[in-house]
Amino acid sequence: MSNEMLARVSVNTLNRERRQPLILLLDASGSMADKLGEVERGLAALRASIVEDTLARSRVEIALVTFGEAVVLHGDFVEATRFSAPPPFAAGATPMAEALLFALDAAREKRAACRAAGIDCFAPWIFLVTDGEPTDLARWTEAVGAVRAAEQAKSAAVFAVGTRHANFERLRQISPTRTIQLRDGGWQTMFRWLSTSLKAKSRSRPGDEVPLEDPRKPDGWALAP
Amino acid sequence: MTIDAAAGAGGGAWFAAGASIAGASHARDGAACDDAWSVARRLDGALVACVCDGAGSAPLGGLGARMVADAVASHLASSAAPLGPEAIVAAHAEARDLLVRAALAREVDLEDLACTSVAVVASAGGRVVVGHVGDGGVVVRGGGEVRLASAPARGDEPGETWFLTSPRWREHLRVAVVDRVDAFAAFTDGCERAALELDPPVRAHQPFARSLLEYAIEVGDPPRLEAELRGLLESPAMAATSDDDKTLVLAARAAASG
Repeated sequence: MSNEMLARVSVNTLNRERRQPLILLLDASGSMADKLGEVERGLAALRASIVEDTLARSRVEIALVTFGEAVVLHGDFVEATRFSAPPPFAAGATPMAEALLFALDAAREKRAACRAAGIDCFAPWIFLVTDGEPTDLARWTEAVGAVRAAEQAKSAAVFAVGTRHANFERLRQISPTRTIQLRDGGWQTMFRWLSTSLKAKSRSRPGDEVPLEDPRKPDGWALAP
Repeated sequence: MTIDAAAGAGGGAWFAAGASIAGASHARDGAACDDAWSVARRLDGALVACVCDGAGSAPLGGLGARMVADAVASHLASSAAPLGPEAIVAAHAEARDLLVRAALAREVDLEDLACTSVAVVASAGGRVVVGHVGDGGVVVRGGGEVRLASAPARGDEPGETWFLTSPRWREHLRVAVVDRVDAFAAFTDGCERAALELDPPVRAHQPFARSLLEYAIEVGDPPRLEAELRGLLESPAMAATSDDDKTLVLAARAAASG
């Protein structure tokens, strides 16, 4: 049977997809220099993996923030197709507190911009990766408080990943439940996990609990606690 | 095309068609549709419709939706009180009482039965009264114009909205009255992106809403409309806008008035 209604009625295709923002908060202090190759490859793989997923492609937006000599936002939030990692560069100290506060601001602004445009926006993920410890301790308490408040309000979800020599006591202060120690050589598995998790989250319906794969499983990228 | 656009007292009898389909996300999980709809006709010629969306976070949301759609429609269909805003509030109070009792009987939290409600009463004279808790919406055609009569309510979080189970449901129940209506569509949030322009100010997407309502008036054949409506809700174009359950009740008054 022909469906004349279908021929007559035009669906609105211009409403924009809901957003799942990701803020990659990468340590770019001097000590990271020997890991930049891994990071670069991982970012390329993350991008490729999201681009090939039709739904995640239109929902995930990525912003890259590095902290070393300074806290730098590399471009604004962009969809994965338009994301390109800056040339790798590492130097200076580890202003992690400033970086976290910056990321929380960026997350807040992103959500406000979405709301003004009538676009649903999930709580941004802030994915911090470091090989050391904060050098801006004067602002540390402030940063920890701000992260906790944002988590409480469900306005951001912060993941704190450290390599072997990171200060996990500090990281756990930021994120008691999502502090993860990266297994040596686990970089690519970590970025793959991140893209898989983002895809699952972006596919979910608002309000759904999205179970993430446990990175501590035997072939995962995290060391068991 | 000769559609009599003169809405008002001269219209014919109301007729309605509805359809409800499980969205892709539910189909993927093997879950049933958590939407429900109900339509009833009154002896005085008024038409009553209610569409409900069971909260995704509520384990028995689908049951809550079914109960509320049926209870609101049957209350309004049999109510002897004038069909104004008070009747809509009373119908929801009664439906909510049923949920409270069901939660007690099953020993579950009331919130487990959480659902939204979009209720519409359309009188024989063309007056439409909407009672609305949560998301979803109603578009109406009145005086030849198609517009949004009740918009989705949104919380701060994506997908966050209000439910009839909320202790503050009365604050969240919004009532709208529109006169000289000759067609309307009430729908759950799975249809919002297809049917509305969501960038503020939220409004009806005319190529969807106007076309749909005019088509209903023109065809005037409920079984055919119902089959075609199901086809529309299941269409790839609709699926591309949302993977949520989709429910829409379409009602109109016959164009030929004499």
